[in-house]
Order: sequence, then structure tokens, then C-alpha cells
Amino acid sequence: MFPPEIEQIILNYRTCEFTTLTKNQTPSTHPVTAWYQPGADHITITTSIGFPHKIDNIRRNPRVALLFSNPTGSGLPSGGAVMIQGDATPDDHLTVVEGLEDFWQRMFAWQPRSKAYHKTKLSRYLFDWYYIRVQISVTPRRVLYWPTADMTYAPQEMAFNAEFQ
Amino acid sequence: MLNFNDMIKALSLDETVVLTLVEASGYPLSLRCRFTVDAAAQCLQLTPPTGVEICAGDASLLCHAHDETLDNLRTLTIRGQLTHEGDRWIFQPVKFQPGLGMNGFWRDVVQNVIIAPRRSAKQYLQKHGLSRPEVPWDVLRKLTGE
Repeated sequence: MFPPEIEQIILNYRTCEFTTLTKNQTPSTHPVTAWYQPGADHITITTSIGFPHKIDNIRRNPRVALLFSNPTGSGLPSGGAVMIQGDATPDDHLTVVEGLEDFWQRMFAWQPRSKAYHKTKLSRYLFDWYYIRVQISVTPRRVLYWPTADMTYAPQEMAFNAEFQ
Repeated sequence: MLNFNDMIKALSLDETVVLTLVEASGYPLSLRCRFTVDAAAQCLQLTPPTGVEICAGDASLLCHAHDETLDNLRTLTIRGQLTHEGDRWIFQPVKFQPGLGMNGFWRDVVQNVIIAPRRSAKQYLQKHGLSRPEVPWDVLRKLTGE
């Protein structure tokens, strides 16, 4: 769905800046880890119900933005950036692990410290909320691309899926 | 409560911030920008990319960082107003929202990572008439590869 240079960034950047719009239409931006299956027509964000405001915002207004602009840990030398505007749809159901096995496997590899959340009976009690999640599908509407870390110049507007053009 | 000087100190760790505003289309637009601090006017001058239509109005700045293993997280959100003065974009902060790595142990770990999200999760389940699902810890442990 995305050109290879865009896909590499989405697949490898550890975080992106995810923006929803609040009740009074002001932007609310938080770092999250996005999940993308190569070739899919959407990007998945998961959010714990311990931080439900993103879900509430999207149910009022589905317009969102994702900016992949922090290459730390990605191993990609270019340091480029991708900005995606899209329409978000939250799942009506809660997800714990089923359907997110690949996501969690990758998170444990990327963030080894998060394994501590389920080491002891106490930590499992305190942090169970972290694993109770709502999946949010983001269907892209516009994609901007900066090939290098210098974002002072104009981005390239990228085609990403012929059926949306 | 953070004040402007605290914000400057926090921003001194970053060369860029993520500016987010709302486009005329109604979609949010996020851009990573270089910035300079105008301490006298208690505002920031931003250098957004060329070739992107930028709208004045409600906006936010996000400063966040992590290391190679997604550890040592640091997050600061600043809400404010974006204005255009001549050829300069000015961000006037209104509210600082310190996140992880900005509050010391008590607020970072106990309040922000245990108490507040546990309370929010409970409220979410109650609001939607849902029972608390069991977390399959044995499955998660297998996924860690240990």
C-alpha cells in the first residue's frame, strides 16, 4: 500500500506521534507504537483502556494524524519522516492478546524492560490494565514524506493506494 | 505545576519539537520543527517546513524522547496558541502537561503508571458495561521468548 521508503519507516520507528482532536477541537498528541502489516490498507494503533481519552476523542471525531519522526532505535540511517492524516475507527471490543500476538512479541523485543510488568504476582495485579486494549484502525487519506531528518524543507506528497486517488 | 522557566529547562534537551495544529480541512497536521525560546515574551519561535499550509489557532507542542530500547521515556506536552507575525510563527504556551520522566518517581510511576490508569480502566469498563478480562499471563510470557 505504501512505497517501500515509507513502509520501512512505519515498520521500524519505535514510536510515532498520534493526534486525536478533543471535544473543543484542540489537538491532543501522544507518542504511541503503531502496528502495520505490510500491504494492509490501514495502520493499527492500540491503546490501553487505562488511557481511554484517545478512544473517546475518535468516537466524537475520527480525523487523526500520525507523525513518524523519531528514528531512535530503528536502525534506519536516513532519519526521514512520514506524516499521515487519516480516519480512525476504534474496535468495539477489548483485545488482550488474541490477534495482537505479533504486536506484543515485537514490543517485548523492542522494549525489554516491559517484560517486568508480568514478572511477579504484584506487578501482574498492578499492570493488568496495560494489556487490556482497544484496537484503532487508521485509514490513510494523505501522506507527506521527508526523505531525511531535515524537516525545514517542503515534504513530498506521496501516493499510497490507487483506489483512494 | 510547571512554569515557563521549567519548560525552557525541559526544552533545552531537544533541538526540535512536534507542532500539531488543525488544518482548514479539519484534520490535525503534525510537523517536527526547530525552535528558539523568546524568554522575554515567554513564547517560542518555530521554524516549520516550507510548502505546508499552516493555520494559526489552537495548537500543541510535544517533546518526547526514548532510548534505543524504548526506555528512559520523557514526555512534555504544551498547549497554546499559534500565531503568524510577519514571517515568523509564534507559539504562545497556555498549559504545560508534564508526562513520563518529568515528575520524579512518585508522580511518574505511582500516579501516572499505576493509580491513574488503573482508575481510568475501571471507569472505562463500568461506563461500557464490560467485565474486566483476564490477562493470559502464560501466553504473554511465551511471547517474551524467555
